[in-house]
Amino acid sequence: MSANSRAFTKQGAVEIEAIAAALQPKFAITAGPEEAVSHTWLDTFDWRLHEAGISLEYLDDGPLIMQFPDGNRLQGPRPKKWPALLHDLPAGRLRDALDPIVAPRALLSVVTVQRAVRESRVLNADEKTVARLLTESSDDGTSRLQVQPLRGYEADADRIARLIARVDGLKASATTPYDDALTLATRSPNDQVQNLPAPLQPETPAPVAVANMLAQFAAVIDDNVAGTIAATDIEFLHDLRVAVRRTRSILKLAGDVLPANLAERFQPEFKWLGDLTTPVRDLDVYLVELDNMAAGLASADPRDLDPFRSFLVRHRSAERRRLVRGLRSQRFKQVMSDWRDELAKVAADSHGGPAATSLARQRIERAFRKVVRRGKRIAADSPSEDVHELRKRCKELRYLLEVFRPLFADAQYRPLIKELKALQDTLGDFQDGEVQREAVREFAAVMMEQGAAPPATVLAMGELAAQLDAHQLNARGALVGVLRPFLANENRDRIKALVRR
Amino acid sequence: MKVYATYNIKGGVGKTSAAVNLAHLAARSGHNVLLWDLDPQGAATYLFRVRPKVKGGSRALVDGTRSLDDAIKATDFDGLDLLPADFRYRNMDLQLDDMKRPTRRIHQLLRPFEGEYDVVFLDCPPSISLLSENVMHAVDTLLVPMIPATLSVRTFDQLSGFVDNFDGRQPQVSAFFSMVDGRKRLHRELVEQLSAERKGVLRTAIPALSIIEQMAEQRAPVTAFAPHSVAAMCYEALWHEVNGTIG
Repeated sequence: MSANSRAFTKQGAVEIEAIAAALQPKFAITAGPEEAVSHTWLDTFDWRLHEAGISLEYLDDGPLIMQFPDGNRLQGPRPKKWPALLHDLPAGRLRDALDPIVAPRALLSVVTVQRAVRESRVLNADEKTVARLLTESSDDGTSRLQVQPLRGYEADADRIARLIARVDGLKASATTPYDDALTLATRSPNDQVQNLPAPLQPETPAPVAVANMLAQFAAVIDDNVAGTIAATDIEFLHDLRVAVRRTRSILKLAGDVLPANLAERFQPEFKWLGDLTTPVRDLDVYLVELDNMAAGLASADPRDLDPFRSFLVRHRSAERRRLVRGLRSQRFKQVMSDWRDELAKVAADSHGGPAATSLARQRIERAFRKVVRRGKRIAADSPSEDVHELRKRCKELRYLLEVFRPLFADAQYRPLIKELKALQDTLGDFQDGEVQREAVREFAAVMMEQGAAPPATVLAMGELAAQLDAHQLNARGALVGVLRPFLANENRDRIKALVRR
Repeated sequence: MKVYATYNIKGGVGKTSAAVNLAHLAARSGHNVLLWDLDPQGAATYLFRVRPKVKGGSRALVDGTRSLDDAIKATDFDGLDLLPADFRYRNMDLQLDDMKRPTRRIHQLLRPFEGEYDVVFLDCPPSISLLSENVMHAVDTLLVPMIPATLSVRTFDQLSGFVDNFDGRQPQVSAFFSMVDGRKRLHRELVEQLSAERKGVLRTAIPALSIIEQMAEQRAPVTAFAPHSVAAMCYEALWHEVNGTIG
């Protein structure tokens, strides 16, 4: 990446003659025509491209352009409509480059602005194009000029940028065109930060701290309802579920500090919401995993699983109808509205009581003790239910560590969370294998009852179940290996240091 | 990634013109394209106004001390990159001979570009050498421009026979007539007869037109500076035929 800026801004129009004069005698400019264009930017709902410093955009009916932080670009054809999942994009380099950043999220149109744009070419002494200059002016009177490097001519682009920096009125730009456009968008990556309640302080009264964190989870639930109902991508439902699970855990582990039976009143409602979302999420996971598992079949042909896939898709449609009905129901709307009101009251009215830090210390210690107690009992041949219980306790500990993180030093937290995460990954592997293996058997039985399972499909599903068995065996072997370091004295000392008063 | 080479043992038969125009057409249709100018004379490099110099010369590329990646230059056309020629490519045969699998080196060198480019064109120098053998092992399709003469056909047969003896992966050999003079009866007859009778001879022929020669003055593909000319349309027809041939 170049050390100097290749992007500039100016109040008023950029005069291409002034730029051309600054570049002489080394470079000449061939200016293109100025055109009025509509410029659209895309991103995922959770701003993955913005976070990676990437912009994905198109002008009018032009191709999709992916621009990296160093100014390099990739382009490819556009899908027919937005939102679009990656498989709606034609196969190619652009899709391959987006995949690791974006999948499984959908790309949404974030903002469209009208701009006057001019693309000019910068030529060297051989009249070879060595860079492109893109000038854009917007209605508010500001202009932006960007030097776009060409492969193999990066040094020229830097030289050109240095020469342009000397032109009067041009300033190196601190923001990207995408950042500028986002100021006009209805949603932006900063919304979340702006809407957060005051950061958690050690002396914050415990009820206020708990109400604030629950209010944040409630906001996440609200944010993800529309995308879940519209089935924009599977992560909306996932994020909604995680927020529900966190709400339930915090109600269970620290709900007692809230006033007058609030926890008891809302716990059944959030259990209802959690249960409502489970079947579709499970089916989403099966469908995502199915291709991987099908690729690992040794005896059966992956195509033998097609009737199974169709069955899952049909089953999911039915479950989705139930989920959507639930999310549109009066009950759901009432629960969320009452919940927000109650939390706001707590946050406004609570004074005194124990401080957030002492609550955090007490509850983290308790949760860790439970993990240790359950973890010690786990051996390679422990019953699956015991492993499942351990997983639930680990999740609770993780949520507590996460919500109280602002109260503690990072150095104490990081190694602890790293070890816990490794343990949770293995437990997750174990549990998923277990649930999926049982589910494959149940699905096979239902499909046979419905006459929807040809013999080849049943055989292939049998092989899938065997694959999951083998996977399960591996996860069991790995489990004891990761439990040992987590339960070791070093970690206990870390927790002790954390909760020491 | 599809790899094509324009190759003929003879010089001046339209190899570079075909490589440059077909590469431009492939890029224009949305593919990411790399053109490697393997000819030390550097005609394709000249046409794209790129300096015919590669740091370390062919030795550094062949023995791997420099990555091909660092030598690639963008052309003036979106999606079309060039690996320039260097006069030191004239020694490439000797350098290839020093390698472990001397006939597979170009194939190995191109492998890392698998995810990056959709189409690669190799513009080869006129000769039959270790380099040309390397090219034949590296490509999916060998495009052979032929001037309409009985002896050209004989060369095409020799080439097909040579490739048929390869163990394992064999490139498709597709010949097309180039520099066809419509006023000459022999040219017309040979083109008609052979493209109908011979497997591997394409239907599209490239006529001898002065606009193709103007590429050297314009320093651009004819498909870019005269996109509606007869020559550009012939190259388009050739690209469709070639592209369709191997999917």
